[in-house]
Amino acid sequence: MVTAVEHGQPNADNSPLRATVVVRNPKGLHMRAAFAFSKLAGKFRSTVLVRKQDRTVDGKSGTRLMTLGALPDTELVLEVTGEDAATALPVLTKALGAPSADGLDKLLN
Amino acid sequence: MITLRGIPVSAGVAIGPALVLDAEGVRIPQRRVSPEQVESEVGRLHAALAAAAFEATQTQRDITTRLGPKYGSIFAAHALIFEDPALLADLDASVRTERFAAEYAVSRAIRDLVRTFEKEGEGTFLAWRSADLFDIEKRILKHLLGNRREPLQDLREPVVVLARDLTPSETAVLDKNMVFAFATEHGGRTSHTAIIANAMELPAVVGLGHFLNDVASGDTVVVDGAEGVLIIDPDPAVEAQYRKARDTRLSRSGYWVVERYLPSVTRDGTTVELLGNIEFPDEATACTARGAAGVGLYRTEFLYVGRDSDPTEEEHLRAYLRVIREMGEDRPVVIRTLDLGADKFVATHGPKEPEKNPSLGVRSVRLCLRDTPLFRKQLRAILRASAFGDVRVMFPMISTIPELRKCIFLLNEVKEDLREAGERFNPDIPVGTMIEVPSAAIMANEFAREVDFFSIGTNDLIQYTLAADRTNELVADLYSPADPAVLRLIKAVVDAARTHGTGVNVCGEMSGDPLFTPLLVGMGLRQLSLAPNNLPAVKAVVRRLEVGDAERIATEALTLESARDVINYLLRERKRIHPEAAGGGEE
Repeated sequence: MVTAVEHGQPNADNSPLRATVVVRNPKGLHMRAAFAFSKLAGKFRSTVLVRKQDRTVDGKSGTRLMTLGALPDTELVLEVTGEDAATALPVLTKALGAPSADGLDKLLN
Repeated sequence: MITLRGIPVSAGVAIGPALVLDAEGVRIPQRRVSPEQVESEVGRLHAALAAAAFEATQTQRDITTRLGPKYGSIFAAHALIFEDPALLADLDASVRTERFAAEYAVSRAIRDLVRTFEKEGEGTFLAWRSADLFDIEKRILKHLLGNRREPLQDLREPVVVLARDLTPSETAVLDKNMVFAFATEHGGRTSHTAIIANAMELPAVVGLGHFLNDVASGDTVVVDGAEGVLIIDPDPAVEAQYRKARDTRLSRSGYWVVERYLPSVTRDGTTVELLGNIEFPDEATACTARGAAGVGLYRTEFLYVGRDSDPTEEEHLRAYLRVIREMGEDRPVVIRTLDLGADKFVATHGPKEPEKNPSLGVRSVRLCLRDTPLFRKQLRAILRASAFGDVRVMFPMISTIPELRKCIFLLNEVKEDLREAGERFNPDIPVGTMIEVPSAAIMANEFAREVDFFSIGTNDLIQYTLAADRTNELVADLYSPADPAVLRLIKAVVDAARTHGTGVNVCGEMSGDPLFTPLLVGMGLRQLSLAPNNLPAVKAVVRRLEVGDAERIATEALTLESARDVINYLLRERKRIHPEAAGGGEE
């Protein structure tokens, strides 16, 4: 699903890296999941955008992510731009597509 | 008699006098500030946000301890909303460009969010309700508007709470000793409020529709949380029938409820003193309600957080006196000096450069020793408070003997100042140190000569011993109170304390988990300090324990090689000692 570069490869020109992620959480991107993701995204220096169809929001903002109303099976595009984008993309891709927030909850506790 | 049907969200039968909560929310008028007030308004807004976030984190910690991390994380998400970059940007813009007063800016931003969620979210996030957002709003407004009357905080007799709606955090702080059940007009089956009520085993019915006009505070009401029924002013026959149903249930599930006022003594007559850990002065009441022998850990960080100036000596003193008043002259109050990282602190103390590794940096007593005016101010207040009760002072995060001696030296200097100023204080105030850095645990024999008591802070001790941050999911599995290395350190500290006649207790989360009670008693601990909510469950274990048996458990556990082995062993032992509790899930 990671389209622009292979995992871990340097990303010298800071071009955006994208991945398509399908929401697998049966409850959708609900509050705990959205905030756990935004907290994780906030740990990276890169900008993190999440797109659903024609709407794009700041992935570091839980409230904005919530407004996407991403239900199960929604296709989202994750776009990461910045020096640590190559590290961030696989981590964030995994988190966004996680089947439950239970693993992510640890980020919140 | 009126019988109403709503949505059953948490099973159980309760009968009691109604407490009808004010149905009116806070109405915030649209107010603007003058251009020169804008900066101070932004400051006020940020202070309120910081205080609200701190409070949500408290709730998170409390709920995680009481009900588990899954429930705690609801409030962790709330805490993050207060720091949400997009929301902060909206709020700032609202104050700076439109010059709205902070209260109005908050109220409007939340209303906008509710609308967006309702539209974009298509009402599909079942667990995410506008109740969460109103919870957020209420928390911020509470800090902006100052202390409002909180009817749920000072209940004299147990009640059944009836309200239009309850927010998740209002539900989470309900004291089960004073609230039998609740019933609300609004709310749904999968709201966070319902989820928390269920986890707390507090009978609850929601979504009853309008009924508050038909009931007054003091009316007898029945809540049947399994059937979703609320009965106002029941007929005697109906009430008797529900009473019977309730009592049968209590005798089965309420094994600790009946024991909570009994002494904390093992079967062979050894007292294991249970003290309370508190953060806010009001929590002292919760300690008394559960029969705590005193306050074993009074954290003072709340005095410093969420404000732009340091607390004055008088502010310290006032807070301490509130706790002392609750405890009386005989029950001890152990006040721990400031234990914050420089990064979490009012601007004036923040590090010039962000620290690369804050948990190994200038925090806690290290910060205090670098800023002695700040430290002295707190020590003066603690000493002055010692004139009024059994106050004890404790230093956190001590890693070396010279550090501890510096603290004691400063304390003595402050005593001298107070003596000269003619202030009253206890010249023999007991002095203790936290043992939470492995170096201090290893040097416990030497530390024991310097102080009157130890308090083993397991949370940090585990983190520093295993070099694992439990909030980092990748290494969180290394963090365990049951790790043999941690157990051996605790044992060494207890042994050193006994050799030198120094007092010792454990005040980390470990002491509040009844699974570890036999182990801790077996290692020689006769005093534990824990969150007041955990006190009844821990006492229930103490009362079923024989010291000899506990010692055997400790000896066996100390031979095991991994945290998993220790946990499995303790679970097996619990089944034997306390079969009723074996179903309860704190592990």
